[in-house]
Amino acid sequence: MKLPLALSLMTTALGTTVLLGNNAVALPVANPFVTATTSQDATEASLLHLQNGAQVSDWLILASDDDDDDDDHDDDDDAYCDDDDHEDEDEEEKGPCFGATMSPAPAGSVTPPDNGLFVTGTTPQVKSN
Amino acid sequence: MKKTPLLAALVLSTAMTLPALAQAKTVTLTTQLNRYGGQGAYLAIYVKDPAGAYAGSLWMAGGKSKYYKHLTDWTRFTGGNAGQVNGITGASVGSGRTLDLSMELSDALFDAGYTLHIDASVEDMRDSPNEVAVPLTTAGAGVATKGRRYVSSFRYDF
Repeated sequence: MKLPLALSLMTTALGTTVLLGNNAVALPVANPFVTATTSQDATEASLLHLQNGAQVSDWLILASDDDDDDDDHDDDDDAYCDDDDHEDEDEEEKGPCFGATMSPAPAGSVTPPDNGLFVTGTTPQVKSN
Repeated sequence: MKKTPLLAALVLSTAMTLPALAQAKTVTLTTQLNRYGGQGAYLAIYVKDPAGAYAGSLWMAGGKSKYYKHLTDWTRFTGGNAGQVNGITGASVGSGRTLDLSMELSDALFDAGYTLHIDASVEDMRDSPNEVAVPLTTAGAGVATKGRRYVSSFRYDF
């Protein structure tokens, strides 16, 4: 008769247990026969130690849920040499940074390169695009 | 008597100026794209000398240098150096649109074995190196040339 009672008490205690993060907390439990403490051995997991009286009944491993670690993948960040935006089956070059340099200055902002093609001091003009 | 030195100076300055003007011409480059149905096309317009070596760039349509590697011939010639198109860069050209450029080019480029080339690339579509290749000649002015994939028509006019 006592064993089913103990089992029901444990079930009730587990049902009121909340998942914990990385911080050690003392769980508020309705049943005085069950206390819970946490110990942290790993960064990502906490161990919930359930204790029923003087007897250790079980260890419940909890996975931490870090809500602040959302990964935002920015695939179009011009500040970095990003190779995600322009895949091509003919591409032979390896590495996302091949040939990557700062973007050139737009027309009209600086003098054109002195390559001998343009008349000195002139700049190509876009008439329409 | 006093007018003679002034007249001589005027004649001399004129003689020095006119040859410079005769050594250049205003050239219009007109590039019309097919309706290929994709994103804006990046175009690298550049010149090769009579030996086939890269001589310089005339225009880069498309401002993000990280995409220049897909203009494969241009990148091979320049090492992807965006400085080659500093000050001669504009927007990419949309599907079905036309890019009209006007520039003052040296006469020495024409009828001397120089060729104009265009590399083209469109995001998520095939790269097209040497999309257009035309000799720079006075007889070639006004003649329309069809590209390999994206360019429906290219011509240069004086």
